[in-house]
Amino acid sequence: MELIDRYLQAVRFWLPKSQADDILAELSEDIRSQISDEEEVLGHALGESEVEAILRKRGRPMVVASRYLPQRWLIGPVFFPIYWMILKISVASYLVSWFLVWLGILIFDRTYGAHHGALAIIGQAWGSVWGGLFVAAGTITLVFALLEHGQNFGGFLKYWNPRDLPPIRDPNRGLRLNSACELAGYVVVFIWWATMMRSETIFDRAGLRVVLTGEWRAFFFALLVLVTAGAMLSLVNLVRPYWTRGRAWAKLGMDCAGAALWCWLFKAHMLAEIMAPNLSQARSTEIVNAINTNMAKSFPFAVLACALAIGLADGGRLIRMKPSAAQLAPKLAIALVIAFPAWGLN
Amino acid sequence: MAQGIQPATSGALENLRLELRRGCLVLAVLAALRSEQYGYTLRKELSEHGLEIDEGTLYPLLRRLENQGLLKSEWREEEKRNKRFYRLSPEGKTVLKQLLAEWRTLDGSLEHILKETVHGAY
Repeated sequence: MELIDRYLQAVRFWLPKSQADDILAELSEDIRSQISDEEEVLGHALGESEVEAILRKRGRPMVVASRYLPQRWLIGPVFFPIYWMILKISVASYLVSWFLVWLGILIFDRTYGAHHGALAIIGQAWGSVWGGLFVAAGTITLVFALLEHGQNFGGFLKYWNPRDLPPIRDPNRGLRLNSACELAGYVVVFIWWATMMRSETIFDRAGLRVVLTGEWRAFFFALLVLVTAGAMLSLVNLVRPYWTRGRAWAKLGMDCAGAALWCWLFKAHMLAEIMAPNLSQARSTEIVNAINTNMAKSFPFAVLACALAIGLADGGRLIRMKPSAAQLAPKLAIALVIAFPAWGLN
Repeated sequence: MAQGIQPATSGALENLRLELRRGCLVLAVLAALRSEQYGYTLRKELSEHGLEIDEGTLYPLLRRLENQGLLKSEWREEEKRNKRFYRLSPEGKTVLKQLLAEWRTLDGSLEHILKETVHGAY
């Protein structure tokens, strides 16, 4: 029954992956046994509203799942799973963004590095991170403590409807709308790229002229090929909206090639000339050098961002597929995350 | 004046009742699993004997007892459905014997205290 599967899917969301299958198999069996029992008593198959009543009585999926988790709570037992999940995501996001900003300052602001010793920089950074972290964690805890307190009065546990649970998700099934939008995007990019970006002089209007080096031609054609390949894959996904292993690997290959191309752009010192009214030749050269140098400096960030994006999107998709891709994909994702930044540091 | 249970007292009573039931349920589950059963039939059997237990309490309890080595479980097909059957492990049998002895001692002591208190009260 679809409603039961939706209920089990919602319970699964809150369970640790290592135990989820086992717990859900037993929970599913218990629900089906109860239904069989009731059908025997009533002498007819249960309708959806009767199944709904059974599920409603069993309780909200989050609360059911929380009983299988270690019993710990800071704010109270009902909202603890969602509180804990949001706290972890917020703390991780805060630390990652804080680290990236700090790394940016360290790389781009030469005076900061020059005026502080390595130990002083680490000490200062360590000290400043705690203030923000404390405020973020404290705010989240306070909000959830209030919610937990409020649910006693609002009937959060009592009033819920199993019919409102999200539909069964098939991670390998893509949405046709997504593929259509993707295809439209590729077509627009293709037309724009082929018509407007063909020449090394990529901008020439109102006295402002931007000229790139000869390597631009190679980049131009390579990107054109990738956009065409991407459009073809989107078209296939539009006609048959189901990810197969072949298509997932093809997408991974295309994304890797695109990422390599994109990262190369950062390092290639491709900007040759900028001309503008009232801009002297010396100043123009200075600006060109500054842009090329800063792009080259940003190269590790570009590589890291690409590696993470590919690891999460394509690696995640391959991991979901069974069986052989699931064995290779984690290794590939790890290799990507290590290899790309290693390239970035060179 | 009406002598109803005040809300604060009712909350305390509920907590004490839950606390009392918790220990008894472990004993009841161990006792019921001297013969092999799967979760749903175990829940029904306990309910038939007046011990209502919801699945959200029973299954985590069964997992905990299994992790402690007191139960053994096995997935098996019955009536074309896969079911997990539980039974007492040898350690579980020993522990049940000891817990029952403890239970009877406690019960005897409580009865004794109640009798003495009643006699003293009159």
